[in-house]
Amino acid sequence: MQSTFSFDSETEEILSRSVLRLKYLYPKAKIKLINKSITFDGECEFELINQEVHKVVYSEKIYLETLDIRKKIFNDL
Amino acid sequence: MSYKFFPYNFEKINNKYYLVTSQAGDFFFCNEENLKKLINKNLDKNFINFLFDKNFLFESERDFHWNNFKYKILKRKILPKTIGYYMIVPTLRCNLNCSYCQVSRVDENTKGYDWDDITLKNFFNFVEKNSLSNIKIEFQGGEPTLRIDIIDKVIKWCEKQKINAEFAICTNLINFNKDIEKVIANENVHISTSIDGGHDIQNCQRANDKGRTAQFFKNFDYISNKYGIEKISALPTFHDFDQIKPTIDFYYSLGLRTIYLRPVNFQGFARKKHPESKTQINTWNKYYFDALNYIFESNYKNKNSFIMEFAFATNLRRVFQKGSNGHLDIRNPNFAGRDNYIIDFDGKLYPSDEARMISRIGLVDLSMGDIVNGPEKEKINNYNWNQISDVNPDCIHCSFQPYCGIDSVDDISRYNRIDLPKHKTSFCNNHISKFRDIFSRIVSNDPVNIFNLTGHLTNIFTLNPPFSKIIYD
Repeated sequence: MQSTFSFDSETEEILSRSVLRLKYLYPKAKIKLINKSITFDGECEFELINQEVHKVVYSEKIYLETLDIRKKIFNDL
Repeated sequence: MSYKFFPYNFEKINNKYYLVTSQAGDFFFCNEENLKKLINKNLDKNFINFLFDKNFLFESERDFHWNNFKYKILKRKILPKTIGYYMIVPTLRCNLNCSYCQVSRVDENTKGYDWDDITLKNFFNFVEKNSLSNIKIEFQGGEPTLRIDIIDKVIKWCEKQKINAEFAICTNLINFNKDIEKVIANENVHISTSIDGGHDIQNCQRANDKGRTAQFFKNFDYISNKYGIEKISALPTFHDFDQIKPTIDFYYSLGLRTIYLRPVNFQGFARKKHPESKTQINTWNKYYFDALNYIFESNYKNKNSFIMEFAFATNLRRVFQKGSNGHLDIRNPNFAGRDNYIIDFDGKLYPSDEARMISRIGLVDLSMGDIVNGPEKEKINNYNWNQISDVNPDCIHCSFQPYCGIDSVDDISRYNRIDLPKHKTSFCNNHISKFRDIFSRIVSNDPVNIFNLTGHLTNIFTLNPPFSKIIYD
């Protein structure tokens, strides 16, 4: 089953990292990033992959946005 | 008001709530609408104040919020700089032959598997060099009471050196004589033993001899009656999961306060005799959570007779009590050669009992020096690079990372490698399930859960929850 998820307000960096992570988590699926949309083609229920794609994208967003803080905190320890 | 975010993660807990955890381990729950506001930084004043209170935001580097956050991370990660815990193996010999023995053992009459006087002296030198005045020594085996003379010498040496030491003897309690009683009469000595269930189960899984099984329970009763049930801790091992609830009932009847529910560990002799133990984590967890509910309901109904489940209590402390870093299975970093050592019958040092087990079967040599020449620092450093979850690509996105641990030895034991994606490992599946369960119970507002959460965390079972303001609606 093929599903497409759009993330117009997110950056290319967040989305490309998300695709990399999704490929790692779902090695048998075909996952592509085209124009800020992630296409997932593989055997998975829509509700599950919908939740998973959003979780991965938002996790990457939070991670990237707080990475500097993470580094500073650890340097400060 | 200007603000910046500390690192955080989120996780769907149930149909209503998401769990949001900071890297320092603070947490709260919110619905999907508020989660979106959080991620998109579309926050109103109330939400901002809530997030400051929860230590998810700061205004500027090194302000109060920053230092508070940093302190919590330090508390969660700091390990003692001297060795405070020794697990020692005065003999590898054992008078039983259990099918799922996870530790190494040889026959009771085999020669060459005991500490000699030189090893004992080397151990004393090692303790003097590496420890301060507060230590705990656990006597493992084999069956350590076969060398009660060594145990006695170790205890007396600690007393002579004015070392404030606690001792635990891990024994099958088959043999109990006057020499052993003299040692355990010491108030600093505790007994740890295995009780898999009632007489029939214990006989089937342990002694395989009705007379010896009867002797075990006679010895157990004698010690608990004379010295109090607090003198003894017991833990079961299950390979027939239908026996979990009857065993819990049996623990209640014995007056034991703690039970550690665990399946056969894929270690030692169990690797051959119970190969199913390698991959049964999902099946086990179904039984485990069912059993946990059973304990919770029993505690709530009984009101004056409680049992704590050890793994639940340990994981719960990792959530609420920053600095609960003593349990090797569930801490991060989990550095070897820092605050504990296993010292085998031949004086070799290991980072954990599991490391000793897989070395013994020849899978990989995880010995890290010996008590004569000291720790092998280079080997320990190489090992320790894989004992940090903060740089693992799977763990950094996990909401439970602040509380969870890391255990390369378990991965090596099951998969012969340490670089599998974490979510494919038994360790990860086990702990994610357990932390998800804990947070589901926290947000449930169910009196049975609150009663047991409080009890497992504080040892006082009440309906006053040990947390507040955990939901942002």
